[in-house]
Amino acid sequence: MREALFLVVAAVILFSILLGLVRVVFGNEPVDRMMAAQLLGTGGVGVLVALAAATGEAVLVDVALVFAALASVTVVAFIHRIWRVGEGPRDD
Amino acid sequence: MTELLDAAVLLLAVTGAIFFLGGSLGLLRFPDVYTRLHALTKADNVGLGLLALGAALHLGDPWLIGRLALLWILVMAAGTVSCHLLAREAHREGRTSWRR
Amino acid sequence: MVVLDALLALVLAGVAVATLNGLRRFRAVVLFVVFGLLLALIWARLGAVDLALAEAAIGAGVTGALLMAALDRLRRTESSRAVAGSAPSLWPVVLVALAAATVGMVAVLSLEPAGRPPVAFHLGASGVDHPVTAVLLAFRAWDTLLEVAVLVAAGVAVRAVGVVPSPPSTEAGPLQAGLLRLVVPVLVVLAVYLLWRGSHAPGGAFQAGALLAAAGVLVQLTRVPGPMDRPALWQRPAETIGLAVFTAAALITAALDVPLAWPEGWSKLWILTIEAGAAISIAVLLMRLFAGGAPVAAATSDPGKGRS
Repeated sequence: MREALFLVVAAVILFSILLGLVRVVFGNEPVDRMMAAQLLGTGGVGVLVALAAATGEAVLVDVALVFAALASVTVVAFIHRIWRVGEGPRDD
Repeated sequence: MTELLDAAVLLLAVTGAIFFLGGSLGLLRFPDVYTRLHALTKADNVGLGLLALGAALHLGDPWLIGRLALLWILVMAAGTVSCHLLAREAHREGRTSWRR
Repeated sequence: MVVLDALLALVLAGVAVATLNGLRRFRAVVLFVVFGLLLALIWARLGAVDLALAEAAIGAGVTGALLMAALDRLRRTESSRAVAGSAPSLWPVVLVALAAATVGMVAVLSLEPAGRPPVAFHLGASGVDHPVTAVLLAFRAWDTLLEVAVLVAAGVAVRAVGVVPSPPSTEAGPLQAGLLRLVVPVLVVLAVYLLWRGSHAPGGAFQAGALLAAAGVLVQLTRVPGPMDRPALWQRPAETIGLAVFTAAALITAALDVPLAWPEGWSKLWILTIEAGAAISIAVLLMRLFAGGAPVAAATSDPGKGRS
């Protein structure tokens, strides 16, 4: 019974990942795409935690832990390598 | 007792999922960077936190609960610093907050 | 459950097509990172946890940062962005891929399942309890040795391309430095844990190395100059220790009996030593790939001439 609940939760979070994906594909500027990617990362952690609760496989929590530990790397790389404040907007 | 646990797990998991959904909807619908960051970090902190708490109550193994807690702290830290960095750069670029 | 899996598969295919579609490079980079995330979820759903861990470690960490650094370097060194009309159409590729996937699926589904899985049958002889590690480091150790050599070759190639670029730096700030104080130790502990766990549960050298590389990338992004920018005595030994340990093990076992056949009862120790060396090398080599060039001493750095 609870397993089914967590499966539904996983599906809901997957759906919200899909919504975020819209922002990645149709964002107006790089910041939008980056924020959406960050949200998708957290969503991935959420899906893995929900799946771990649904199936009882503890090792999925380890995969989620790896994702969580690395959640900041892409944004930090974006700030330091992509977003140049003085150089004007570019979305290419 | 198990009914109470069932109700608690149900409430936590569902609310967590709602916050995730809210985060995505906010990202799609809010008007500027700052408000979108606000929506984003809610999904990070509250959404994942409630979900992790529900999963911890459901699974029960202490090692697992420890790992779930560590996971939540890491996501919160990453979300906090990401939000700060993005907002700082947006501010340096001269973006002003959206007004109605 | 089936709905979830079908949704994941469809979204993955969609993201793959979207990544290749169009001319916006940054969008493609972000979509590729998302692709890695979804792929890790799918590996987890398929029960391939080692792959899920590796994909999470590489995709969420090093790959995104590497592609962004590459895009930045490209933007600052390309002379002009002559956008020739519109992007080429993806339809031929998509149709061919769909056809190939259908044929492949039909072929795989029509196979008879293996009567007695060979790896499980011989697991006892390998000395470890985890089938993936047994294949990588006991049955097919030769392949893994060559893979480590390939990575070292990549490191040599990157060093040969030029010196480390010095892009304009963005101030890191106290919050980012504080984040490092939390995340880097956690990543190191996780890496050691995954390395040690590889003998009996999903984990191993590559996952550990990728996690350490991500920690190194964070440090490289925060500190100017970073650990890969200035020549230091530890760099070359760290980059080659994996290959050195593995080759030494091969030579020693060749002298004893058969090359890469771990002595009875001691195989776990041999495998763990090799994996530890490999993890260090993988980490430093991935950091070298991210840094993008050979280290250069501060006094002789020449801004603007010949490098970006």
